[in-house]
Amino acid sequence: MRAAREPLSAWTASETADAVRSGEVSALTVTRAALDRIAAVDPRLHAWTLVDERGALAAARGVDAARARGESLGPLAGVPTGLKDNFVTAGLETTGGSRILQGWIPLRDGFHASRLRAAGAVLLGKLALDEFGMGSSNENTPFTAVRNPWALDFVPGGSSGGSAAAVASRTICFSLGSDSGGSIRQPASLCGIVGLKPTYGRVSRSGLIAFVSSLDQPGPLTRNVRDAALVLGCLAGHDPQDMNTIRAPAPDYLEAVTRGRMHGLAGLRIGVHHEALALPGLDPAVRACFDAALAALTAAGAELLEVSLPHFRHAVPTYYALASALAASNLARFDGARQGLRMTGEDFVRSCTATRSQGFGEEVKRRLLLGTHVMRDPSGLYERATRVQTLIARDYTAAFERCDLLASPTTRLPGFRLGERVHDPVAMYLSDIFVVGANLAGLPAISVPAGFAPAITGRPRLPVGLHLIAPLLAEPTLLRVAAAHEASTAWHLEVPPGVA
Amino acid sequence: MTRVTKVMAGATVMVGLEFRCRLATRSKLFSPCPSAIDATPDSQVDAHTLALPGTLPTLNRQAVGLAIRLALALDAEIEPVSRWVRKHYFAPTLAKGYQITQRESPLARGGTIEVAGRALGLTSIYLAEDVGELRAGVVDLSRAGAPLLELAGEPMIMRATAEEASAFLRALQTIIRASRVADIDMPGALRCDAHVSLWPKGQDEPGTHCTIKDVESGPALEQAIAAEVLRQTALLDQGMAVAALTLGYDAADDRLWVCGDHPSATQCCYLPEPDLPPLRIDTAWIERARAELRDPRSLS
Repeated sequence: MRAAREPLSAWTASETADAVRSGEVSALTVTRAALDRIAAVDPRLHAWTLVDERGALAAARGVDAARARGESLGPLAGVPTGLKDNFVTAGLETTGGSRILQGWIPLRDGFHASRLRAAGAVLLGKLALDEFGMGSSNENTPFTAVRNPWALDFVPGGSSGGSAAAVASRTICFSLGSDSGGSIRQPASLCGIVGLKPTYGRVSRSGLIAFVSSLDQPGPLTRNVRDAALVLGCLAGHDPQDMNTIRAPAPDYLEAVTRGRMHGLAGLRIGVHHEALALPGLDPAVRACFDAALAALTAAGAELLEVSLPHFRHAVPTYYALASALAASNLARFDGARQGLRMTGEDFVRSCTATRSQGFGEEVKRRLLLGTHVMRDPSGLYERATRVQTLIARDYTAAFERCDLLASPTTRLPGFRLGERVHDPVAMYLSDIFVVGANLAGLPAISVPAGFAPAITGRPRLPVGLHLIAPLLAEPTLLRVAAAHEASTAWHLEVPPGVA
Repeated sequence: MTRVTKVMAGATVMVGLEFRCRLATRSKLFSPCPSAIDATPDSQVDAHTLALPGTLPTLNRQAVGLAIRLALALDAEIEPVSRWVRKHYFAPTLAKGYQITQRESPLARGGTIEVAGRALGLTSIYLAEDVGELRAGVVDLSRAGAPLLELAGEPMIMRATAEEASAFLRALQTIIRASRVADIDMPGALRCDAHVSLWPKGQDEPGTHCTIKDVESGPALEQAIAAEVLRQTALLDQGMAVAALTLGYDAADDRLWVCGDHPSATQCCYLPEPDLPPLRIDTAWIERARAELRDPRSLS
């Protein structure tokens, strides 16, 4: 038992669930260890916005009692987890990272909390995010900004920064994030872990606070590829509560991982996105890690070819037009009349204005102004952005006629310091340049650990991610390639020094 | 009606009618929440009606079936594909901050309401969700999200008097009663908006129109249009312009009032509804609705 020789915090979700099912360890022991670790490391990171100790211990006792009764346990039995605070959770305050929802305690679990609990996972609490998912650094928050476990004065990425930092710092085996324009994959890259965004519609959005309804997609953040497959298997499938979920049954994702680890990538063609590599400002250390990752994939049997996505440079502006308009639409419901913050005024318009002025942060207000402009634009900006979105999606379709998968770095830089970009929103928006395309085209994509940018003057050693994009519903291909890469590297086993 | 005929001497009266029929479904248009028309205030409210974060719309197929049935009864053409949009405006009665409607891409087009040899042509027939109500400053969301079938009529010249408009309303009530898609005798089951404008003699086009919202009976519609024609005539007689207004009509006092609750078209913005796939209606669904229309035993 490899796992048994290491501390519980080093165990993956699969190892933990196996050990709980076999009786090697109780869910209560695992949960207590996770709670202790949160108490030990999180004061430096601020990844957790809420820790529900009582609820977690009760859930763990429930798993142990079910085992004692001889019931068969779920695939995530006793596995400690946390949800980004834009997932609705019964009895646990759900803020969306915003002051405007502070104090809202939902009565019922959303789809994700309920699915994970049914699979046996133990929910420890909620994780920090950029307000309503709007940001790439976790600094857009009325609460405390999250730190990167690899370098405490660096950002963890965003918007699922708390979800990434909590997994990287080994307080939990896996977390859920949501990805509208890279919000799972970019923080996974910056924190040195695995982040998977499924095909749009593969996982239900019911119970996720809406941001960009046509692009939002929940997914797992984990420390290895197998766990990503395991968690995706618990979430994927049709949900009558979300009319955009895909009816095709979910395939066996774990089998794809085993295939990648055992049988390599012979016959697989990986397209290298050459516009991404030609982009000015690509960090040489990121480039070196990417080249090493390609070498590992070639060694596993894959064939490389250069591919072009001609509309690549339009992806970021297109994304921000669509995202801002839908944010303005989805956030219109926060008028202070029903839940969360409530400011009073002489009439509806005045109390609504006061609530929103007080409740929303600066970046949210910027996007609401931008989004309202996009909606009202007489030349039909929104409609034009959706036409460009179609062109971008066609680029991917054309590329996938020549290859099975696309590869690029996840980010241009290995990371940035807290405060470094807060006054330059456009530079912040450009952090998403390699990742937004997959959202616009609805495609599944993953970021996996691909090495480290060595320490240089003014910058410590930081993790770098490899970004892979697959055709619609080709999560098995994505997982297979990611697993083959992981089998020949050891980057995912390193422990961040800030929390060692 | 004598006052109307008197002031109409120099101008033609143009009236565009729009009807909103509250479909008698068991649940709301986009949630399983009950949707009785005679519910007590705040009794029909669920997470979706309250627009709680994380809720998504799911389409009520019973509402679509009733909509197809009424469209067929009016001889309209069913569109094989129709789409949903979000109509945004801020109002205390609109919990989501937008209303989901098919306004831009209707479920059916065409169709007519006939009265004594004259036909009112319908331009579009589409589903939309109702909004809540404001009663003495208190919001009641019981009605919010109830399925409405909106029927937009072509603007037409009123040949005789406002009586003609109310005759179309009564004819539509008869058709709805026969097709059994709404509790037509309940208050609020059929509401009518009248867009009224005057077309003074010698001008190239009709003047600015005003909209009277939510009139529910034939007599009230007659009186409301008559009162509005009188008001616009008086303005024009004094050399003043008619401003585009949304008006309410109080039948008890025979009084028009400027209604702040309804936004004008320029205050609204629209976005395609990303949470709902396009509505596809195949011939089997149409034929089922046609059979229900013919079968007097089929209730809603």
